[in-house]
Amino acid sequence: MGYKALINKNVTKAFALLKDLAEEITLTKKTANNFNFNTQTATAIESPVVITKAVITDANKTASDRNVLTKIMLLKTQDIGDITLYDKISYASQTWLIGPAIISDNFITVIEVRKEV
Amino acid sequence: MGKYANLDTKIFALFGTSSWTAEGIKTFPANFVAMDAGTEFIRVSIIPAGPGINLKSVSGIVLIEIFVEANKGPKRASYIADKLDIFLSGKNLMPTTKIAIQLGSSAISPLGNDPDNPSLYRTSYTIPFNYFEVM
Repeated sequence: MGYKALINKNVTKAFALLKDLAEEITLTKKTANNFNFNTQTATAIESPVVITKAVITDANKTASDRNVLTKIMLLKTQDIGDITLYDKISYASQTWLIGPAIISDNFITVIEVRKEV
Repeated sequence: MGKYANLDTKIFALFGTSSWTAEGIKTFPANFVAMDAGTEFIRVSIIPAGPGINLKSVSGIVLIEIFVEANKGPKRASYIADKLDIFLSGKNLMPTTKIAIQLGSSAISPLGNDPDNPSLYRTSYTIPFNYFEVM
């Protein structure tokens, strides 16, 4: 077994050991988007959703002029592949937008998701 | 529609024409995150922040950020700016008999490497406009 497969196997094992700390999320990714200047509408092609587990490692709420809830999620890169800004995460029956902080390597992806509350 | 929506409709429509799309320059508006934008594209913002001759009129600038590959010199950005001039500079747009949009003379300004992606070089292209609407 190569190193990549070995690490991925252990990441999967680690998520399993986290039991209910790893919560189910649904990721909807854009595969293409376009803007029509005549109708001024943005269209996005979304890929089939990915259902995977995420660990919420941090959460905070800012309230300078609005209430914005931010959560940091740890995911398995193998499950989600490449993600981009404004892909959507459905978690706890609510839709969250992926913010600018995306840290990803071949095994673990850390994202920031945001929502107005 | 009001003056701001009229401005968006008429100016953005210039970038939806077949003659502009035939230029092959990827074009996006402000508040749109493009996927696979590549190494050359432009981003269009309409800024109606100036005075008008009456309550229904306004002036401002069309700001177009030109992104080209960094470390290749200014030639390509200037070429794109010249192309934009053909479509925008000195144009009079009259969507209805009660509305007129006059675009003036353009200017470009080098802004340096893009802070989000330093492999791209950013040049701003600005062109003033006046929007007139009969009260």
